[in-house]
Amino acid sequence: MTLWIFQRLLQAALVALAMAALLFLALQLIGSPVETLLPAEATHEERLRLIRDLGLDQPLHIQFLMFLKGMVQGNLGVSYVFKEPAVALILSRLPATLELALFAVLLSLIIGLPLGLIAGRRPHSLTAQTIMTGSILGFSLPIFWVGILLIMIFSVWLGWLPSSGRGQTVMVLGVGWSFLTWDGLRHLILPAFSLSLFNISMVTRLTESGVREAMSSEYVKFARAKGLAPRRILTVHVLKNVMIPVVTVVGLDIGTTIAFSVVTETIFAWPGMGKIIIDSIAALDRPVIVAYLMLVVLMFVLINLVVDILYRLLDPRIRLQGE
Amino acid sequence: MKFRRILYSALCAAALAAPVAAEDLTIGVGGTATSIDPHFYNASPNNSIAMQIFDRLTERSAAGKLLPGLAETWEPVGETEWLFTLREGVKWHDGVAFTADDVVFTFDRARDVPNSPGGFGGFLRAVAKVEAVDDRTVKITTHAPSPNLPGDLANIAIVSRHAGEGADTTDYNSGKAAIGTGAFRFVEFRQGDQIRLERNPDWWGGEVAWDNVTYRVISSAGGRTTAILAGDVDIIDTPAAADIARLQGTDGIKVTSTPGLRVIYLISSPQTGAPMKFIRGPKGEELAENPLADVRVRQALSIALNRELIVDRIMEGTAKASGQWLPEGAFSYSPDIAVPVQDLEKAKALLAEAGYPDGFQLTVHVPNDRYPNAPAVVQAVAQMWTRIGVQTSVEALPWTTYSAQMKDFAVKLVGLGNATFDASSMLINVLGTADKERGLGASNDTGYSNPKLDEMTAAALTIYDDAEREKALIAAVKVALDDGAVLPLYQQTNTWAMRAGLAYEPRIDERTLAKDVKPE
Repeated sequence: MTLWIFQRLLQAALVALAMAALLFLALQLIGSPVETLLPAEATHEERLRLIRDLGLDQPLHIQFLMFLKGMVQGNLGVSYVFKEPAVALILSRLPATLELALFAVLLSLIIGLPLGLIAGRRPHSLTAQTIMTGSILGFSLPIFWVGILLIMIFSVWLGWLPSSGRGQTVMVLGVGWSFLTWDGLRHLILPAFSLSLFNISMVTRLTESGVREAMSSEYVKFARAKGLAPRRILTVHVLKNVMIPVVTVVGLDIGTTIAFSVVTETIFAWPGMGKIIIDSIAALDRPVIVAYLMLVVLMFVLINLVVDILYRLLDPRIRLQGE
Repeated sequence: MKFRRILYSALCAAALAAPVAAEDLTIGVGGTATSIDPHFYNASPNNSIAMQIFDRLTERSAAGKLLPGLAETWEPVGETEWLFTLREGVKWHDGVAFTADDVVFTFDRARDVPNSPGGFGGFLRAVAKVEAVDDRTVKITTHAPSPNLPGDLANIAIVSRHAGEGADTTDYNSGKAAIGTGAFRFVEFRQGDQIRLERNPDWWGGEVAWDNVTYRVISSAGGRTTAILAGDVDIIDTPAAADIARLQGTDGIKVTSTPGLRVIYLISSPQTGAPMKFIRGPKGEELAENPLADVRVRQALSIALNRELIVDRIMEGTAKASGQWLPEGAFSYSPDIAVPVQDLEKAKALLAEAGYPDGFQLTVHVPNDRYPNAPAVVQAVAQMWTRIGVQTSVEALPWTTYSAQMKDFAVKLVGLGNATFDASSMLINVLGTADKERGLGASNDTGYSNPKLDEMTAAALTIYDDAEREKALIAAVKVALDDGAVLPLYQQTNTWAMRAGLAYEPRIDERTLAKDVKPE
């Protein structure tokens, strides 16, 4: 087992290295940060100094070696446009994005589960039909359009909620969180809701089909025969069984939600990671692009590793096969 | 009873004595200031912030007129020296007195901030030596006669030696070194999110209306519009063209605008190397010579355009058609240079005269994420050129890719901010023959070279008499335009929307300055 984990770690390191090389070369192909950044009033001297400062006057293989050396030391360079270490810059934005994504997932459960339960209990009622038709809207409407519509209704016409930004934050564990203040929470509602709309629909539909299936199963019939109240059957016995697929899918979906938040962050001017990667691509801020993508790569490599280990621990068949 | 009366009057007194509620201003801006270090990056959003915290020796009014700043007066001494007399009693935000030595420190630093995209060196190109004669007098020696120096120095924020010596950009971002003399003090900087400032009660320029100012970055134009409609911000810059009518029609919101300094122009490359990839004969065959090297072809391309139509239909009135690169009212703008009138017959005749009676094929390049509506503008240009036989196709690219390949394009669309507020920025940096020794053509990537124009530019920029210099600059502008060196299309209009009760004089240089936002 130890040897196997060691092998897997080695594989993971190779994947990260290949990804780094690919990233490095791809970024060379896109263009030159010097031309993108340099203002029209810059002098010849300033141009040369910038090329030298950024290390772009070195041959490509030296640049790559320097980049690898930095990566091993955990230093992915300094942002060209912000002059801050790239990794620190991204990590400083991570809480905002996580907060938004997790809040969105939470909303999808709070809203999606009850709707699914109601719709699944009497599938042919008008309420159920309305909910199910509505859920189609939820995953077919584009997120940016919904976002703008929500702003128009709740910020511009009704004036209940702020239209953009993150609001007041509270420092906990050295990181600013906005869901802990009333002002921050008000800022969070609209972006989180528009981000969660897709997930709400998905949870609703999953729950609905689960409930429909469970309602005709033996244990529900037995519970009913035993004289349990319908409400108790639904919220205790049925819900527990329905939750298994919902939790699996929602768990998998957290990653996608973080990725989707780029669009939401732009509309609501939410200062998260998505916004910084978009800005950095526009400015060809190589260190930040690399740091962002490398963090994502590392995240996925690690998740895969953990999943593989868990499989072996959970399923003796795979374990035996390997040995 | 008596006690109650005393309590009551005490409460009344307390209520009366309570300070008036603090005046706060929230500004929604589209561009992200990347640093608080005023010499890190010469970009409009960075300069807007730097102009709040720091002052310059000279300042610009909203219309671009030169005003005294930290220097009260300035005068040339002989041909290559300037004396600047500094304002008395100015203090840094930390209470230390401002002296001539800080100016000396600044001009050394501004040229050489490590690892910075910079871009301020061009304004200090003329400066050979800076000396503090006494605490209030700075002597600047220039390489050559430099009448434009006071104007150029309106771009260089003065930083203090005591806080800035040894400090790098991160120290400014953290606020440690962000000690200025400006109208506002630095409070907090969150990259890509917001910047907070507070009133500097000791500012030499008088009282500003706001105790606290927040600049919020809202990069999408739609987001800025909804933010002002919702009342989340007090003023926004550059609303989308499509939103302006709606904002104007909304009660409680007003819109103000002025033709800006930024010119959008087409420029062609006369070289026979790389640009030939984008030029073909009328039937797609390779050409031995570059048709764009012929002035008659460049002229034909210019008069084939209907600039008024482009501005009216595509820019929806958010630009002003122009035949020169400066807006009306700017120094070295000439009322004699009219907007070229479309003349397709004459254009065809010019092409035939140049030896291209059947025209040729051409690809025009345009960045699709940098200037408002630029790809649509170039589509229209392509249609107009195709009508005179120049079969034009359009390629739109993101700026990152575009800027890297720019030097290879045959014809491209570019914008220029005219940061010198006169014709010289274009004449020196873009149209000047690329020559490191003479400091010319640092942004000339077309290979255009006109020795006569170089000479006229150089000569004009040594004339101290303003009227004479303007005349000489206009003469150079005319030579460049007659040569078709650059085809100006229009100047972008700078627009702000604000809640009723506020006033902001629209600036030609795109800056959004809290100190100039006034309650009515």
